[in-house]
Amino acid sequence: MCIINLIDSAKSGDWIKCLPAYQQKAINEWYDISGDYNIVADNWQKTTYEMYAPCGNTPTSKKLYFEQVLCEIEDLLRGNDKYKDLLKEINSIKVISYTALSTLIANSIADKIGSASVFIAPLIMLALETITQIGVKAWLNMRAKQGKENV
Amino acid sequence: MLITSIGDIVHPIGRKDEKGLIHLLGTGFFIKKTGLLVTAAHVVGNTDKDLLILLNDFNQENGYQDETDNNCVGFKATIKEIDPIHDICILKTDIKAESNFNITCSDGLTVGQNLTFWSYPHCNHGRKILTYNVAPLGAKVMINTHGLKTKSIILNTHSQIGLSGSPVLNTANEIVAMIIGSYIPNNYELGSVSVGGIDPQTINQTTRAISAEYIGDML
Repeated sequence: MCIINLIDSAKSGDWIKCLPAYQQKAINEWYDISGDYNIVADNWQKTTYEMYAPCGNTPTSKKLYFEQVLCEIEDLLRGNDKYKDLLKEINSIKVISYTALSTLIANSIADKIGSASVFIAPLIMLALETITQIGVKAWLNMRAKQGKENV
Repeated sequence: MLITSIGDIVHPIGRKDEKGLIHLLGTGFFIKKTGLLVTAAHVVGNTDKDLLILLNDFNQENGYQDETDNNCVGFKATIKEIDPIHDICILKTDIKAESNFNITCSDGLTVGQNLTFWSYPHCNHGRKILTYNVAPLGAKVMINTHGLKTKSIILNTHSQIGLSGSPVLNTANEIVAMIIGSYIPNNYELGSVSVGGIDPQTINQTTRAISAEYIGDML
């Protein structure tokens, strides 16, 4: 199945349900407070590095993983060559659950970013929730426009 | 294989660099599921590349751990689950062992009671010495993490690098919490001053441990 059709046919919450229960709990609590998956993603990545000075060490500087994730998802949806094997695999599957699809996407993107899949998966699912809300085409247009504005 | 000796349960976590040298990062402990250890998420970071569980020499016949011996045996570890909100990571290894320690929570603790923990203090300097500590429970606190409240306990002991990931035990030898770092003010400004890689605000501080119930939620 085409990945774009799969994402466009998802309902709100379908991607978050692919995560382990303990991750879903925190994300849903944050979403109940903010109503915005982008804010939840920001909270998630800030929490990762806002540790309480691990036993005398200076806290490490923050890394913004969410933007990296968004760039990788954009490359994936635009059919970038580095994702051709993944896209070929997804296209060859007739029926796939969101859980299986999310695992394939998370493993592939985590490999590109150099992070453990379970660490980056929540950010990927939050990004997919945002994309599902507005549609893939609209999201890609928005990203293209943001890219031009940043030049 | 069921392991009951503390030396077999609590291990240092390390990472191999490109030169093959192993850098010690913190402490981890086997739980009641085969091959799984728990440590603090920040000990591991976002990747399990070249991550290792190292054996200690706690159970020497003469009772002394040999700090002159720089050799160590390590086993590959991968990240199975990670919860950055509560700073908990579950690692998976091929070691066919599980501990006999029950995981409970901090709810039943009383301020003032003594708790014990085992750790590898100053392991960042290469010390692989499993060390026992007793500290009174100073406070039970709810910490705000961007609107989410999490249960923690504060131990009246100065925190040291290497303590992160240490299991905190009650008198029944149950794991009630896990040490995750210094307890510093909420308005702490990151990196305001650094002396030798350490912010002075973070030293001589009491120690924070996250309730073990959040470990249970991940299993």
